[in-house]
Amino acid sequence: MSEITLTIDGREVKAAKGDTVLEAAQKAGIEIPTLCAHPALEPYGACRLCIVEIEGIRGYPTSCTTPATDGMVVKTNSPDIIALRREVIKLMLSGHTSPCLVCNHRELCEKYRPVPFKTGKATRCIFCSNIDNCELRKLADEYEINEFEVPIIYRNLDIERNDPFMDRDYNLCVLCGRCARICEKINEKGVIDFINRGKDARIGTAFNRSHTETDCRFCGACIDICPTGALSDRFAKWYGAPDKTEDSTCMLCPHGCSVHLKLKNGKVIGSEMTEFTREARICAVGRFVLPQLLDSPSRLVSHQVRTEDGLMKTTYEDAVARAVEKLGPYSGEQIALIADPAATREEIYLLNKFAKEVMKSDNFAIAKNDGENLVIEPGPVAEAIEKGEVKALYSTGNYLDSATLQRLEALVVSDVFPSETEKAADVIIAAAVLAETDGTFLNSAGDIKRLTAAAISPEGLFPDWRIICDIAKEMGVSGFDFESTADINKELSEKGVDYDIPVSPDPSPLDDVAALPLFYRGHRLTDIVCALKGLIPEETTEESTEEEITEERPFKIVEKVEIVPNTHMITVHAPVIAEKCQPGQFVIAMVNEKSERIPYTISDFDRKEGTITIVILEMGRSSREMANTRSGKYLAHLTGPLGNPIEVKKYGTVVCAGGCYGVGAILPVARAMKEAGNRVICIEEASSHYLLHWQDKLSQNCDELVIVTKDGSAGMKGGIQEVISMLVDRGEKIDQAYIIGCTFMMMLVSEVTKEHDIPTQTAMNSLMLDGTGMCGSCRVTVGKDTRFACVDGPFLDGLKIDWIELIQRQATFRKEEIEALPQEPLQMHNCRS
Amino acid sequence: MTGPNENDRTVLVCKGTGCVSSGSIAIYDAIEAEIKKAGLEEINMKLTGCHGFCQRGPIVIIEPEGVFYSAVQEKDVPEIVESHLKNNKPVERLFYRDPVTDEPIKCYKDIPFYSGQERIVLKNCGHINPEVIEDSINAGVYQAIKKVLHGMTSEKVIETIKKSGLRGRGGAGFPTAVKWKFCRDEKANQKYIICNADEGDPGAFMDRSILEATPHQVIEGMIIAGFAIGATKGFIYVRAEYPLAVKRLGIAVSQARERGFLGDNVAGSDFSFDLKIFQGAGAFVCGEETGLIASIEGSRGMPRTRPPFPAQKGLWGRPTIINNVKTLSYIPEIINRGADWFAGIGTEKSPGTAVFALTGKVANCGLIEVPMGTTLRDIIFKIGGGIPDGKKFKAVQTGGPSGGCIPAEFLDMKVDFDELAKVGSIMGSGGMIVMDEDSCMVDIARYFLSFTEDESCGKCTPCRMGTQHVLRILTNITEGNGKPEDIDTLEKLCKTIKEASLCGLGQTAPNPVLTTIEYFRDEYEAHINEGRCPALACKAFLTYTIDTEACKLCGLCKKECPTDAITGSVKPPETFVINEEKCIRCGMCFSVCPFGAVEKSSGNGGPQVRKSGSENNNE
Repeated sequence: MSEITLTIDGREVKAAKGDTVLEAAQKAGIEIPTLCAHPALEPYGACRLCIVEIEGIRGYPTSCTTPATDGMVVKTNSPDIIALRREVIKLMLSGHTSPCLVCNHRELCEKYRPVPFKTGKATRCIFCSNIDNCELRKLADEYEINEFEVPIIYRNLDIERNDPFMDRDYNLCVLCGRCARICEKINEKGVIDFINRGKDARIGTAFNRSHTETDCRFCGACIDICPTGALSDRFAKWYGAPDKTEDSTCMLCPHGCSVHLKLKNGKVIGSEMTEFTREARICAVGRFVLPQLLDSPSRLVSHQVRTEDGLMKTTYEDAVARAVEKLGPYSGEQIALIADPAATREEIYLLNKFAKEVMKSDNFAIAKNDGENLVIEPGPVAEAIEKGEVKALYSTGNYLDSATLQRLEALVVSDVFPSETEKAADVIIAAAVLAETDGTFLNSAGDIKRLTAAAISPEGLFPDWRIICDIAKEMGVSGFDFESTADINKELSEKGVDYDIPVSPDPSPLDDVAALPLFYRGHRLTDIVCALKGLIPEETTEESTEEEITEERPFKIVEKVEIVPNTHMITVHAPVIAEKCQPGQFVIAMVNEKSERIPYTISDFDRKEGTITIVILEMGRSSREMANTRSGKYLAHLTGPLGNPIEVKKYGTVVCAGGCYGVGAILPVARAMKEAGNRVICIEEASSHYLLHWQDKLSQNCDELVIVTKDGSAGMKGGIQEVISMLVDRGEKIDQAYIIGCTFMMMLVSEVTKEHDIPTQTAMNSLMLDGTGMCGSCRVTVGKDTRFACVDGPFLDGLKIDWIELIQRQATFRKEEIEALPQEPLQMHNCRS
Repeated sequence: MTGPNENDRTVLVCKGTGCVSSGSIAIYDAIEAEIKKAGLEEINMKLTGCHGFCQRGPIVIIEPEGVFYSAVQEKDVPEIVESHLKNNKPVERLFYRDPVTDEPIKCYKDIPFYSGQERIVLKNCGHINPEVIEDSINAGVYQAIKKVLHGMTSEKVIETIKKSGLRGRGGAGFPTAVKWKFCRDEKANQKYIICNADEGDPGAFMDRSILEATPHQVIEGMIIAGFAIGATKGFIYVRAEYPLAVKRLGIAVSQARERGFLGDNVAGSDFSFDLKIFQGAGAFVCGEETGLIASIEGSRGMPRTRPPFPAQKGLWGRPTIINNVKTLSYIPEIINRGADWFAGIGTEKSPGTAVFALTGKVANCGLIEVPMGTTLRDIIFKIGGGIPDGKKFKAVQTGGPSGGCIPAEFLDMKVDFDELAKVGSIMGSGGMIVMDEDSCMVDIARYFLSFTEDESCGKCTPCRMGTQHVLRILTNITEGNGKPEDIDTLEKLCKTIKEASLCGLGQTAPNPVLTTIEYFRDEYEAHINEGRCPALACKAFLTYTIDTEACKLCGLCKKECPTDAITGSVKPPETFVINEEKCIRCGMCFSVCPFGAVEKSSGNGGPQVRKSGSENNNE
């Protein structure tokens, strides 16, 4: 027993020989901050956060790499170490998009904006999907970082969205190396590693290939181990932290791997490996397809029966009754039951029992995946069905072609997704499956794995075992009175039922994406989770179903530039709008025929050229569509000018302030005010210096331009409200203010202008549908009145607006907004960059 | 006994990289042809490696007289052969001339640059043909291995080196014998000895010269080191940017094998040892021990944390010793001449000699080897010949990008490891850059940081991020965008980088900044607060004006100006004026004006004003 004793922070600590100083400290409950160190990985020593002082060793060695020795004396938190650590954290944050961490308004922001905006690149915390879990934020808070002496270095790398399932935003990477190290550990030949040197060092693949062009198995380990938002799961990223976790088993192939399920509101948002080891690795289907299967928009959520008028929705009880009606008359050779291998032992047992004892038939078959095809086994049953000897069928999936299906006289289906089988069925019972059920699964290693019913199924849906029991009970048959899968298991065990161990897939999906399971209950996984098409080589990507507009028509995009990360300036040929529009008005755009209608302020216009310019921020499905549309393409529709122009007259001194996308929108206001003889003070607010833009354009249209950044990296530190206070303090009498930016900013600014009695016009960002005053979506409470942003605005009196109500209204479709985000890799989108 | 008349002479033509690039290959061929033509076939010809005096190349030496010809050109060859070789009359116009007195000096042993040195590791440089093993053997190489392999135990070897007090010459100055003993004491089936020839400091070329001139002494050092630690395999990790050194090493290794000095039973003993040459791939950080090991292993050259130290767990997890080229070169000499001999040279804590690459604003640029404890003053002014062009000494930078700038107040310091550390610098691999009043210390710091920022491997946060910020601030200061808080920010950043970085690159990168702030703070303050560069070096702070009284209206400045920034004319006579907005501060007008009428100044009416004129500046 090699035990050693050392002293840490004056305490005697016992450790094992071979432990590092960090491990010894952790055993004693002494916390030392870490980032690159991880229990599943070999020590690396790169982040320099875990530095300590050790008597006899000069400098500040890293506790994660230093072996603990008997008699060692360690200090982990002397003032010198704390100070040095703080500086290291600040340096690390200077290579990350950190302005939110030092923003004066952080507390209010987190109160009124509890979820991040769904942008492309995360240029700051409030735009980052990892805001709830980020280890950097925790460090910054623990060490009370509230200002930066050096500016953030933003690398402005393109976000990598060309692979299925993963988004890689290396602007957020702090080079802890965890991803490269776990990839090597799990896959033995790592797919990602550090490339380039020094300030250009980053994580990448060999020759900068996309992951699908490498040996990447899409196991997701890198995403799960990343401490920041750099590597994210495209499907799950915006759901935030889970409210529940549960371990279960994936049944989609005979491996039956353990999975660690993450759930939110009863829905599976993540299915990860249970441990960061090679043995616990899972495949792309288990990691990424499993959650999306249960959440698929095409999922059957209601039971149906066939009537003279076709398939009609009905209740579960009715469907069961009709199933009994249809199948009852048949027995023996005339009836068959096909089950799926991705089922629990309890379900297979019950289905088999039902076939034997209730149907009195030997025709119990399982539809196995044989690589590309489905094979019904045993052969004689398949033949019987083929030859038409079987007249009635209970099927748990889509296993037969339509010709065979047509020959059946009675077809009852319990399934999850629509298909040919469903179209031919007499009764369709929608089932609760996979993470919604529990039971046991025999895998190809011979282990009996457990499933936990962690997810909540759609209402009124039951698992297969329950369905078959209810059918049996409806038939008046005994032996199917089970209350739980545990009961079934008991009977299984008592009867000594023995199943053949399924054959291990070879090659294994764990080692090769070309071997991924293709089917679930007879449905092609690529049809249900289309992002998977990015991995299956034989599948050819379907051409965009949206027609590419090629003939000459209005709304051609003449110029499109990403001016700062996520912010795009788009100039569109729209002569009628260009001729008529006035400062302050907006347009509504649809990128494609099926796109959402989105309002955008007109930022600039050229009546001679017949063009208008809008500046957009990518922050959701539709703005992403717009952001990924190329110059030279045509917008499907553009309507405008809408809304009321601003009242242009001589007020005296006018403040024109823009934050974020508001910078582009405030330009025409400033120009008009200046031309009308006002003294114009423009304020440009950005989170950090790397988001500043159009300073020259604004300067040309105002008397004074004040720059303000949240992190103080350029101009004043703070927001527009601090600038206005500064202007008032220096004696300015502001006669009118125009503020354009996000609702939260305009709310805070209006509080300050209210204090100083400055008339304030704020441009609304309400949810909007028609834009012409009919639907009422964009209503805003102004004082005691209801106003509509589209016809009364877009500028409304900021001093009277009920901002809290507006913020709440804007959050109405949060769930739908996330669900609407495209999951496919970028090049598979209908919108291409 | 033959006298000079009977031409048992040897002509040694330097074919080190410096002289080759000045045309010594053609000179060699021309001499060979000329000798044949003159019927003087008894005369031997030798190519040699680098003498370390590249500034004076191409160099030709005639033995046995020891005549030293410098700056030889191909057209001089007939005269050399005719006058000296045939008629015994050396060609005086090709003699080395003292840069201060202009006195011609015939023999290299009389040249103060050489006579002031004590050349131990550089002993053979320029005097033997590195591509012929016999030359090395005749010069005494491979004597020590016989002594070691046929009469000493490895413990005795380590003891001898310990007694000599030899400290590593790669930069850290760690006692060599102590490191060897750590490795010796490890039990393993395989150990390795690696020669670190990845000389990466800008301006350093001592390792290059040794490898090009006398590679066998390094091989001998490695054999002995291998014997001492118990390694039967060795690597020479040489940077790929030294193709001539790679070539000469290759030739040396295969000749050594042929002679039985490498391979099974070295020199007929029981000890087997062989080595491989491994080329680097262009990263300064691979000169760091653990980065070098990673590189040989085929991994990305990123340093690893220590412990474990390479002596315990190095290349492929096995006990490994990495020694510098110069360190290994001392080993055979210490064996041959004894530990006491070595310990008697230099200072108590830093025995032996030090090799410096003396460069910069100094009359004699080149490699010098002097006993430790020689003063900076002697090195720079006696051997180096002082500051040319009548300029004043300002600082000397030692240790390359890891070292610091030492001001005039320390000129009488006795140079050794500890004395240099006391003033904030390091010995490093021996770079020594002399600066005069025209060197801007802020710009020097910026230059070194641009190197270390580029060469940082990127693994650890403090070095990767810190060097970027430091470089940005220094660049801003030299470009006129300095802010009052910059000096404090620099000091804070440098402290973090120094204390928290993973490896020596990061830990020493701040040294140029810290020493220049310490000793030349006024220059920083002038740039930031007064808008002037005291050295008149930073373009953003320069103003060129024409003194109309001194101007003779020759129009030369206007003719040479690349941006047409000068107005004025000769006929009809119109005053010549420099348009400040168009002026790019290239200095052309300043250097071409024959009358010293162009004034170069810095700061608003600041005291730093210069006139050109009789100075013949190389602007």
